[in-house]
Amino acid sequence: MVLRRFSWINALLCMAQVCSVPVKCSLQRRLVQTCHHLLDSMGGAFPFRCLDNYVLVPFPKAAFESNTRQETVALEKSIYITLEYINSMLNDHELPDQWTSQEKLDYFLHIVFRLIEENKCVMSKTQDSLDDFLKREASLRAYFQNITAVLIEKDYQYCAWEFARFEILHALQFILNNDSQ
Amino acid sequence: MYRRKHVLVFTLLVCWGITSMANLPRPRNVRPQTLNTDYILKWDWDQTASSESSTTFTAQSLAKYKVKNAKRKNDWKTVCECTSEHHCDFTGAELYYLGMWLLRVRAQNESHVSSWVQIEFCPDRDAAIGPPSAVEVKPVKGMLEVAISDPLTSENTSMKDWHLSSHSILQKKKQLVITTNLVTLPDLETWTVYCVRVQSRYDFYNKSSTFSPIHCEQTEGQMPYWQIFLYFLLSLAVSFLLVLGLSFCFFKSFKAIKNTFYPSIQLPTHIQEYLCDSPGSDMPHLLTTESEVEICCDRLDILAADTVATDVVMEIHNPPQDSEQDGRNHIRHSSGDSGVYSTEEGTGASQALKEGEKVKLEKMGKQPGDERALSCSAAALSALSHLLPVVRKPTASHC
Repeated sequence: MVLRRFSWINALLCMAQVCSVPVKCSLQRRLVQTCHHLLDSMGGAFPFRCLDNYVLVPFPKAAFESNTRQETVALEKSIYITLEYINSMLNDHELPDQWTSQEKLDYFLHIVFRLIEENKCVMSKTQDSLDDFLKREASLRAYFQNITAVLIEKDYQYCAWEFARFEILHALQFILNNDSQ
Repeated sequence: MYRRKHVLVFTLLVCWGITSMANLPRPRNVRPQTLNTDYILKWDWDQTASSESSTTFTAQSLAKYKVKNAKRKNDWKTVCECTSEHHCDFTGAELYYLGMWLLRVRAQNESHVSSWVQIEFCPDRDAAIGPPSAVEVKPVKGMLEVAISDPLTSENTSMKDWHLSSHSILQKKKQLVITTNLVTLPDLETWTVYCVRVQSRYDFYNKSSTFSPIHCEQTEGQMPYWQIFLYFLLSLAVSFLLVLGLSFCFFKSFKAIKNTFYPSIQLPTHIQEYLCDSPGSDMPHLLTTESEVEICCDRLDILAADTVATDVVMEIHNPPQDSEQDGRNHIRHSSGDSGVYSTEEGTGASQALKEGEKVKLEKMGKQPGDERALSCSAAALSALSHLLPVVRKPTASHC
């Protein structure tokens, strides 16, 4: 009797997984646009006094290119990985008071987290070329490691965080421009 | 072996502790009830499950992105604390519409608390959208123009600030999906009534609102010629009746005014003059305004014919001049008379006799100088004989 009930419950759970409401597995452009707008309006242009703290970090353009339809999945994964790195960078470290006092930072973190949560299915998509994806992932990893190194070097001061904000804005803008094409 | 026993005992103790603390049943069927940005968390609670009647509930919220942050994962914000209601209004909790939230509720009484019941809530994904706040339909050049107002948030701002929505217009059996707030419905017949209702849609999450109230409007167009002619005739008839009525009223009022101030029937001339009271008129007047009119009546004794033949004494006095004559009543026959009076007895009689002219008729025969007095007296007697049939003997002389 107990075994029968257990079997029915398992069957129901399996059906729930299979027949669940289909989730759209695509990044919403309007959410990425909102992220860019919120981050941009948090501090305005790069502060003049922080120019000394600016370090030129090469941007991995190749990670966001998709010339063919087969590379679209790789592009989606690159965007997803970028969002993960941004979320990790801003959540794992102490942020400057000039940012935390604003609601916009809270909203930004909300949307980034939601994009990651709702689009986990992107990483389970298969792409034609695994090598291409691995190259993209490596370039993105190196890029965000360089930004983190600057933050550590500058002891997470305000100008270091403004540098990080500048790079994140650049990445989001590149994603939006590439997506429109 | 010894270590395993320790772990087992510890686990049992922890479970027993949790059970003893949380032996109050948890709220059931926790679900959000939403519309635009109005969020109400509802739950069911079986009152018989708790022996005490004073069971209250606490509801909290937390941004989901903070869960993985060690420092911020306990930043739960209490929205409803110790409420006896089975719902909690999260509208004022400032839940970011595009964010992901954790909402939780638990029951508690004086001695026990239940464990938390937690749900995930994303307003952008889970909140229902309302219909357009206003819909206006008006005819424009044979078509219908539909103006749609966006659904509103709890702060009366447009819901389009949060997500791009479209509107679905249902007209008869046709459905039109638009993303703008103003649309003109094409391909409509003229002079036909069309009914329209509008629904808000959010296609990404397949959300749609209820329909707005139905609005019916008639299209316009070029008026048929027979209708134009009919309206013309009607207006002509109405104008004619109006002019006729006004003319009739004017004529009646003119006639009434004319009859009032300028009557056609005139009074006789002498009456007009009488009423005008002209001083130069020859008509006899009963009363004159020139002098004070006094009616003096004196006592008059009329004797029988056989007794009158002997001594008839009459006195003729001039009209009294002073107030001593108030007690007398004078009768003046006419201005043409010689002034024959018949006076009553009064205190001033002797004075009057002295002042007045005294005529004494001792006999019926005439005497020189008495013709005037005789004619007057004869006339007076004849007049009086008609008026007063009462006769008695003369008493004292009035002389």
